[in-house]
Amino acid sequence: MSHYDADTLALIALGEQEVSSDSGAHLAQCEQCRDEVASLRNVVVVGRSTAPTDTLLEPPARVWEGIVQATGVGEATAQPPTQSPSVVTPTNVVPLAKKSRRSSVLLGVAAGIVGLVVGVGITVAAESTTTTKPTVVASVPLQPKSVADAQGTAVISYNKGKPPVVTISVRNLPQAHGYYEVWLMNAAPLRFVALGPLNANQRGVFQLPAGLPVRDYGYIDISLQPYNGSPVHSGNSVARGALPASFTHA
Amino acid sequence: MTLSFPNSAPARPATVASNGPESQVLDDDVAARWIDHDPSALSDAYQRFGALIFTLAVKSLGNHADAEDVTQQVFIAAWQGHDQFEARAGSLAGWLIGITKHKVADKLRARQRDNNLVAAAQVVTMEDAVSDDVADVADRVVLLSEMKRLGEPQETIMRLAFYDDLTHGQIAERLGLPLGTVKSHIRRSLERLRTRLEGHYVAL
Repeated sequence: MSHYDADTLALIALGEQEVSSDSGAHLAQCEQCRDEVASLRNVVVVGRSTAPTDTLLEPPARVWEGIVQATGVGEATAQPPTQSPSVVTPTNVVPLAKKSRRSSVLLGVAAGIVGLVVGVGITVAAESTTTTKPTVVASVPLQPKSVADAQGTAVISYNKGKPPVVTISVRNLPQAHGYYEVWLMNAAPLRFVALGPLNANQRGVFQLPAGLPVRDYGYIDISLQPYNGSPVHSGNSVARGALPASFTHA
Repeated sequence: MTLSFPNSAPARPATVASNGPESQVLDDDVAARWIDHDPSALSDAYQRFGALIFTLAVKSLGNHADAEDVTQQVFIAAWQGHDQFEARAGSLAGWLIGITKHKVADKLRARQRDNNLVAAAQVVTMEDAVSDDVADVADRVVLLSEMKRLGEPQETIMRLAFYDDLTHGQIAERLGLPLGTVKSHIRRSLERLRTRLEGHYVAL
């Protein structure tokens, strides 16, 4: 008896009856099909244990700000700790209010300053959030060329107000006499723009030249370059990825 | 003609790889940069998995303030211990979920210490019980997160199948799609959800 096709097994896992020509008789005999149904049914059980109104909750911005402060990542654009709303809060000032009229005037001034400081902190934080989270416009898998195992990705992203950057990571490039260079490439007519060499970890982040007509270049190409001082493509491409048409013609 | 890159933070363009196989490629790329301690990986991972970790923490702890604290601790600890993450052993999301589980257990233990209600011996056994609970919650949260990433019409199809108990025939009729299309969307979506659910077991 032949196995059920994969679509049928999925429907059975969802509890649909009457999707097989033999009313499920095959399942009674076939451990392989039963296992597949059982495994997919686990997913269905989890799915049905959620509610249609369940959604993921976004953490408030202060969570990310705390991470930035603790790790120093993105510190250059984050607010100094002394301006943090969590350090200077209105509650720190409240006890002043009960002392005298003069104090309450001071309180007003102090509250104004606090408001200002908190305001600045929030503004800076909001900006730092947008500048530390690049927007990805394309993610391209790199396919092997002359190196059979070469694999990787080219991610094109940009930060607000900044030129786009290409982030390359490649795996399985052998140690070779030479270096690996990243290019924007066009096939016909053949044209290259050198973006720069990969680092020792086979990765690199490259700014795309401002004003470059990217639509004229359909590929990201990685070449092995000999140490011969020549700035042109060696002709030895080790990996390559096609930019999506919707991206190159944007 | 040059590419136009908008200056204001845009809605993600259609080419963005938030769905389908590209989503996995992007996850892999974030993981690769994480191993390199590339600072961009931290903000990318937070953008991608912050809501997942926060939701898991909220649902496990039932308290937003504690959940914020745990979410922060998870990303800070993960970043500082980046060399303990190996992409081969599981997904980055799975690894973060594993850390969340421990931080949630720590938080519950601290609460219990504060309440001073139980003997130390009982506290020791608590992590196992918590782990089960958190694992269940993690399943549901991962599933919700992955449902969002299925894209359309897959997300709608799976919602009708899960929550409204519609058959594939009814779904096809409701959405005006061919039967075969609905069937293969259902199969591929279930397989993808299974892969993601398994991905986080590996790391636990």
